[in-house]
Amino acid sequence: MKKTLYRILIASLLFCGAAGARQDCAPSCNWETLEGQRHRLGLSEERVGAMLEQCRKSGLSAEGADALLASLYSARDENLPVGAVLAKIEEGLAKKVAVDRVVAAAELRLDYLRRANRLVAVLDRGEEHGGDRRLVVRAAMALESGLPEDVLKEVFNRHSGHRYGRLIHVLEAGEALQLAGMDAKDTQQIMLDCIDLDLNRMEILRAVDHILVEQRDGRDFKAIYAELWIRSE
Amino acid sequence: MNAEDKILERLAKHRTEAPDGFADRVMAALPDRPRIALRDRMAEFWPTHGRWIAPAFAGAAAMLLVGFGMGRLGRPAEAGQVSFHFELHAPGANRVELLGTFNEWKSGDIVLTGPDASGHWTAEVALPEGRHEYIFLVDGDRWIADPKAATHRPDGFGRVNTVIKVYEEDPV
Repeated sequence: MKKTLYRILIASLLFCGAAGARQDCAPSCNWETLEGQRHRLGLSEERVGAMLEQCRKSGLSAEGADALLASLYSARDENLPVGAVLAKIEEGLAKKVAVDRVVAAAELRLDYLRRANRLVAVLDRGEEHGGDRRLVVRAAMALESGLPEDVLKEVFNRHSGHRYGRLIHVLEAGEALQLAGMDAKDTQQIMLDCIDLDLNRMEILRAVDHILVEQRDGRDFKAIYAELWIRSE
Repeated sequence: MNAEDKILERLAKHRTEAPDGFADRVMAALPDRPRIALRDRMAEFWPTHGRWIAPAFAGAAAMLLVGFGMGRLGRPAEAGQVSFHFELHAPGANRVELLGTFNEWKSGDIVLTGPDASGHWTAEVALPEGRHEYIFLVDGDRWIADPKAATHRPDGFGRVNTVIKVYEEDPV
């Protein structure tokens, strides 16, 4: 009787061990394990859960969803803003884009975040990760919108460090001008002026709006720039 | 003097001074004032015949309405949130949705109201301050960038998103 009990106990332990081992060697091969990874991304579990639900609704396999999550895990491991990558995945799923294209877009976003992170690193801002993350995301968006890396390098090099928060607005201004089709050199000039003149966010927004309106009216940059910074005293 | 007056006069004369210490003896003879429990005293305030029920409920309802109204009115002033007006001219559409970074590209989350007489669909959305991307989804299958916005960018999937920067006006 005792022997039988021992046998049952050992068999149970072996079974549990085997089950656990199966989970360990293939951590992302089914929906349950994917759901279990939600908390590991450092995002709201609800948001990741909604993304996985969207994957299921789209008829995506667990393996396909796992491929989508791969870029999120990379972002997390490299201490990059995971939410920015997830946003691209959410967008692709919402627009019912083929999974391979969503995966490619997420990886591209991740690559822009890496490049932005390297650029922001020159600021040497120590432990201010919250601000750094926002800045990294804005820089990545600017790069993704086609603003050359050299322009951002110049901007970060020019920045003295005292107006750190305003850099975000300068980057947004640069992106808007780039998307409006402005020459990269001219965009860089405006961005550097914003820093040198220590403009606040409303002044930057007004300047960009003014340039865009003038540009739509057909005026060339030289003419716009010649009267851009005239003080109204 | 009639009979009544005579009686009153006699009564007035009949009044005599109380003996010394009479009032103290009467007070001492009175039983102690009974202690009323706090619960019973509180209960005295509670309407027992339904007289105050209607006004009380009316007051409570009024307070709730004022609170709700203040909450609604106070929403745009919420820290870091700016109310933004979205509009799309789509006269033939049956349904227009708004998807963007601010709602994590959730379909069905923000549905525009419309169309009005001129074919416009609108929505007021409280957005966090900052940069946002969005697109309209018309009738579940047509993706349209905001034609009224100034800035657009390719979405990497063959379509175009609208880019906006939303910030509260700084006080002058």
